[in-house]
Amino acid sequence: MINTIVVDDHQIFSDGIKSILEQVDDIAYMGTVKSAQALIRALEQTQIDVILMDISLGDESGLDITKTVKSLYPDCQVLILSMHTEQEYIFKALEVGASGYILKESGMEDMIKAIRAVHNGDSYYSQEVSSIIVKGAHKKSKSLDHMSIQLTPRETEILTLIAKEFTNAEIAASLFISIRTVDSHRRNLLDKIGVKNTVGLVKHAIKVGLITDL
Amino acid sequence: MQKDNYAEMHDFLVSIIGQVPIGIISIGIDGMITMCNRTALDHLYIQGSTKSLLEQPLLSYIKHIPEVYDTIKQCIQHGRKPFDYTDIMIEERILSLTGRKIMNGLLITTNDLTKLKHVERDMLRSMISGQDNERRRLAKDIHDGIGPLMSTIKLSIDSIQSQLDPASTKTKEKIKSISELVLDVASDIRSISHDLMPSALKDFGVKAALENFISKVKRSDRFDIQFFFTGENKRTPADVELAIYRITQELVNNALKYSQAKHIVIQLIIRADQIVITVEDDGVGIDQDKLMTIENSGIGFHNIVARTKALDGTFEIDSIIAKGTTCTISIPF
Repeated sequence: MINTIVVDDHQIFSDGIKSILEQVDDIAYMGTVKSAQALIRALEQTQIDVILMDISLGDESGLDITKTVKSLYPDCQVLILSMHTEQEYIFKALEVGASGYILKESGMEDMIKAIRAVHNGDSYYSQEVSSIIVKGAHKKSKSLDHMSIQLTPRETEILTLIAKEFTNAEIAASLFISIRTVDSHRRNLLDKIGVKNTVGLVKHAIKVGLITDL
Repeated sequence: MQKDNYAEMHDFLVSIIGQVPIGIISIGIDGMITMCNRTALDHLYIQGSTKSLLEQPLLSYIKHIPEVYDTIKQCIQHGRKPFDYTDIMIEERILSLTGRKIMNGLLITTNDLTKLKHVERDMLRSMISGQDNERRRLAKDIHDGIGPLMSTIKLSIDSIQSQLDPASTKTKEKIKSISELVLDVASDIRSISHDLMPSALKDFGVKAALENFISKVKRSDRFDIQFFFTGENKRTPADVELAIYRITQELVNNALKYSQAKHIVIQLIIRADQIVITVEDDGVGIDQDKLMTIENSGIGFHNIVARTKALDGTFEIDSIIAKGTTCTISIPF
């Protein structure tokens, strides 16, 4: 028997879950709580295997609660049940130790499969969630490759011209932009490259091969 | 007798300009002060009394206001021309300043707009925050009210379906299509709530929220959009984050709608006390005439200007026909 508890502040939804879980032979619905405090109290009194956790709980965050629970009861599995599809929520959930993440609307079959999977020590994600994870992981590894300074195309153009000793006015004229805009690009370049003046900018331009001859 | 009359007239005039609620300074063609009132000296942060400044060169007292200094110098050296400034900032004060040709000289008047500008800013602020709060409330109602209801309906339908006699294929088919409809509605509701107030903005900050927004635009459009981030990814005040998010959204939507650009580059910079967003495109550019009336133009800059003003920020737009447009917004915090 898998003992489950629901953490959700929407009465109607948790009633819905209850009626579903009561039809399933190997899953026991042990109740619904609406706060971290109530959950901890329940965990002290009852043996719980899987927590069905909502993320947006009024003032509290299901992600924070997950972190706390996992540190107190590492054997207790947390399955996130949320409306959020943004990758930040999903990655944060993985980070704080949730074993699964499904969308509230994904329905009964998904929910039952997920509860059984996380209880077995496996991970489980709704199809939509998995594709977000794959996309996000790809993006993360890509951004790690670029730990070096990333300049926009316009900044690269301007840096090249600065290195060629163009004045702000000359840069503005040759790129068809105003001197003010050149100025703010220059300031951004100083910030990004982490140097104090034009000499620093030119050094960087040489280092990254924007200009070759001196 | 004539002389007495003149002196009397002069004193009379001095007492009038001493009492008017605007700042007045008149100078001769040589640039020497011929008359001034206390208000003008206060407005322009000029030290000294109205008497002690008579016959003194005005230019040597206004070096701290370079744009006005240059204009008046121009008037003295190359002939008098009327001028008007509407937003001169001197320390904490915001002034309007005019110059007009008078007999044998130039008349400079100043008006303190600081209070007016602050009232204007506060009005904008309360209007915007009223709007935002309303959206936040609606988003919350949808997210907490209709959202879970839809999820519950979905669960109930699933439950009915699982209890149906396997032989009743027709009913099963029907229920399946209802279930799919419910899924569509749930997803619509989620995107409406998200458009009203993206929860990632509150929970993860402006960088994450913008990345989400941009990846959505990328998915649905043929434009090449790049996003750059510089600085420390720290949280800034909620109203600043929301303003930057909305402004960027609007700038990107403007670019998509009007610019015919192929590439859009968005850069978010978070400095120690300032947040900057630039949106560059390589599109058709915006007409100078339209730029001049930018606040009233239909291109959707109105909200951007209002949000920027409400937070004491600056909005710069740099556009060249057939070359593209760069918009830069900075907001202090």
